[in-house]
Amino acid sequence: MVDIVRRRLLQGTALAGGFAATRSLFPAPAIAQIPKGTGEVVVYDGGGSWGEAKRIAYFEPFERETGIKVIAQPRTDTGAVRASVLAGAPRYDVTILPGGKAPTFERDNLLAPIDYGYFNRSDLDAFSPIKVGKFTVPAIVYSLFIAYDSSKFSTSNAPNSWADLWDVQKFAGRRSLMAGTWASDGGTFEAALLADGVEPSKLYPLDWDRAFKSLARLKPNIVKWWNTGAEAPQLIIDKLITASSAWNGRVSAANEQGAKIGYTWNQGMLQYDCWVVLKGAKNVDNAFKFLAFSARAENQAKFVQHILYAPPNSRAFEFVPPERAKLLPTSPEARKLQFVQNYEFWNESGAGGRANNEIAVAQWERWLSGAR
Amino acid sequence: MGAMALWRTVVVAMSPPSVTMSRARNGVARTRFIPVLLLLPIVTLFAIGYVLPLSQLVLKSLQSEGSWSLKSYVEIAHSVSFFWIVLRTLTLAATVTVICLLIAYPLAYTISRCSPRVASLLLLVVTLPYLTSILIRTYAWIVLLGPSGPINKMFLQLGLISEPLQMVFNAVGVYIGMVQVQLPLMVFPLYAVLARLNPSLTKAAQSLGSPPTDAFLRVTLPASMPGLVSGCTLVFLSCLGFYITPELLGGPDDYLIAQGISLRVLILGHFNDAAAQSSLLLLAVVVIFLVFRRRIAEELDDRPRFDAVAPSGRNSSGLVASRRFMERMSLPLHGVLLHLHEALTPVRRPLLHAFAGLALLLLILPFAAVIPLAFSDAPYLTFPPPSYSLRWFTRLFSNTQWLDALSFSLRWAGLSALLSVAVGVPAAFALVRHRFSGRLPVYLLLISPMIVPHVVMAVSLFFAFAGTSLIGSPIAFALSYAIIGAPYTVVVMIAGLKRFDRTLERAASSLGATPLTALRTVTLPLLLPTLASAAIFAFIVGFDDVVFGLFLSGPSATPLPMRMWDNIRLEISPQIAVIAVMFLAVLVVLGLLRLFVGAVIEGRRSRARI
Repeated sequence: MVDIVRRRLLQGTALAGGFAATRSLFPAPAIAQIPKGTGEVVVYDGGGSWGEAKRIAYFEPFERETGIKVIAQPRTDTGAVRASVLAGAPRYDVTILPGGKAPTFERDNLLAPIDYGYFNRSDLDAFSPIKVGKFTVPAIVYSLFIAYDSSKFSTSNAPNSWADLWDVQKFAGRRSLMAGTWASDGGTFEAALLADGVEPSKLYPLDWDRAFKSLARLKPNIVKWWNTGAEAPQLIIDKLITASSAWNGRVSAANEQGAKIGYTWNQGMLQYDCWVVLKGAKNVDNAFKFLAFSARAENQAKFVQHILYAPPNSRAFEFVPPERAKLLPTSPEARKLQFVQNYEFWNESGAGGRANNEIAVAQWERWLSGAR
Repeated sequence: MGAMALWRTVVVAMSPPSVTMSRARNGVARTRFIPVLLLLPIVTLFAIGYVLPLSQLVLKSLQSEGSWSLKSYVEIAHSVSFFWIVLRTLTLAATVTVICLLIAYPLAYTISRCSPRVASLLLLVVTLPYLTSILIRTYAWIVLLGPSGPINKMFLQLGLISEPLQMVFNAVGVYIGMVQVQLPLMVFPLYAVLARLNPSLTKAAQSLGSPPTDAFLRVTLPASMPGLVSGCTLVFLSCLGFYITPELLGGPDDYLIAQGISLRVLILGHFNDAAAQSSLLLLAVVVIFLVFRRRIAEELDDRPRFDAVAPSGRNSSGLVASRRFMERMSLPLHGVLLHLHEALTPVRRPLLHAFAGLALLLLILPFAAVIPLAFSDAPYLTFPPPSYSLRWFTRLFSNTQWLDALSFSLRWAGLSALLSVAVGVPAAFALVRHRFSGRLPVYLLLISPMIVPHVVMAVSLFFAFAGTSLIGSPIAFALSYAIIGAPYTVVVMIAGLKRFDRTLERAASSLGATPLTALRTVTLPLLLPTLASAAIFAFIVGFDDVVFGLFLSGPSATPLPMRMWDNIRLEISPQIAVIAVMFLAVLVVLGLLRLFVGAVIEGRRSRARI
């Protein structure tokens, strides 16, 4: 699945944003009502503006329609989720995994196959370019890009590439990147290679040595490695750094609240997250109902109104105002400046039978401890 | 054995040895039975909630894909990075311990020389930062020490520097943050011994011609040794497993062992590797213990101190050695010290006070940042706030999630604190007042939850509880909070019991008091402040916990620090500052209440005297 997705994204197949123009051609189809239910469903809420968007667009309307109570759970880490499934007591029924990490969960037999019975055919077919999988329903498409302090750099003279971010002479100030312990999530290794002059099309397989050499050049100017989405914009707001990698939704959420953070789509890295149902979940049936509900174009469009993460259901763009769609990382203008992260590479087994995701962490630890 | 009989045995066990001795004549077997009985509750608790899950985890480290294997250990043996990380962790812990000692000693000494009322107020100030979330304190340092923070701004305006100093996200930041977090752990045990120290001893030494500096080295310092060792032990050990402060305040190079283990558990899900690393950390700690076993044994020694009247022959502990050491050291220095003393006399006191003041400032400085932040009108965290409002207070009180989490934490951390005290106090009595084989191993076991990184304990509990309804239930939290809180009650109580003047108990029993009466009217009232601080420590440890929350929380059990952790990780806002300010308010009210009650009791006493 990942392979197809990547190829399609790389080929630039008509991307989601393009559908906005075709809105009038598709009258809203009659939506099959999800049967009423009882009990509850425990869903990962993601917190902050992201959790808020989910609550408004998905949780509350779902409760009203089905009578099933949504219990939103605060974030936890993938390892803890893994432990909970292994222990036979999954902490969520439904959770979200980064696209780079989901295949490992699939491989390790931690997910429940999704029953698409409650989904509308029209919604299922409209998932594009990332299709639904046996265990995964795409949740959001987003970008890891370069963000900077716009009070320091004017738009005309701001960092516009990873090489610029590395150039502390031209763009004075200190920097941050996501900690390499997050491997594929943070895009730090890709950024290092791009900064060193590697072409986006020739990035994979990643050259670890070259990436660490490049990172070593920037390290003296790194204030700290960020670990959470909120941290990168916060470091800029606090004037601790002048530029960093960051996720687009967090940056625009901060800007909508009055922060002044500039960004560029250029050399941005497209990523996506998936909904999954954990193996052994107590409320599987409710979980499938919830996923069917969140897959509806209208609901995804509502979600976009609250946070700038792109909907994987391309039909959602029929309900998103064009001026809002323009701001999404999947808009044609933004899309052509970015590249798609290769999840396939990150999940391939490298030396010692471990996935590249794990190798990256081991190498990162060695590098930080000075042993590399 | 009926409940009443059991209680009587406990009372006998806790009562003065003279009484115990007379009973002992009737049956030696019974006295041997007493420490077992006293230790039974805590050992049972630890066996179920701690030893068993951890053994399962150690077994896990010896397995790979379902069969016995040393794979994880072989990998560690081949990993150079692990040893560098361990070395870095040990160095950091040792440095923080030394800095804490240097700062805490003058502070504790100054407080111990204040009037009781001032002392209790100052101790409250010391406790204050410890009672608020480690998360907000750590974040406050980022704000305070940052390049555009108030400290740099002040220095810039004063013209002391031309460029902002880099004080955070490097080793400096980690040291400042860690020292501030750990300082109370050092101050309390030191204060406990120094306050008990009879000042007339120093005066006696001085009247016999000993300069105060010399008197300090010969009397004060040796007498404060138990507190000093206790404090250093607490600080050093809890530094080893520290995660949050280095994680939030450290620079790109600050990567410690707890972070490595957390990474394996929380992100990678390499549980066997994490178990192997934790087992090795545990082993390293045991080795350190063995190296310092004399000091540890001294820590357990409850033989009479200098302020008690005792024939010197009974002082067969390491203390004699240390006293001789002090003597040897101070003799040749005597003349020099005398001169130094004369030179220092005019500035000694102000210097001491200034130093203590600085230490207190270090403890409360983050509040300077936290208070205005809580009243910020900005939608995100920025210092100083552009304008002020109560919006974050309104938001907190209209959010049931925060309120639920708050009441959950208060309830279950409170209950666990009581449980910790209930099992920890008898254990401390057993360890201090009884000699039995296996005393040292038991002591090491009981304080070990302070060393084992919480993430390891949490994940071991998670597996132990898996498949039962205990996961995501308050019971799981009560159990884990009690286990991480109990070591603190044991350590605090041991320090308290050791400085306890047992002649008072003997006096009571010689005047015909039954063991129960002696315990009720003499021992417990005198130990009440110690009991209170034991309970407070246990409460805080549970209340402030983040890591257990990550693994054990569920829909009906989300503690406050989990909400705060999420808030910091997902959307940094002034919300947490509001909680800190509310804590501060509660503490001020409690402090005033305590002063008021103290004044009332004092007033009553003075009236009674008339």
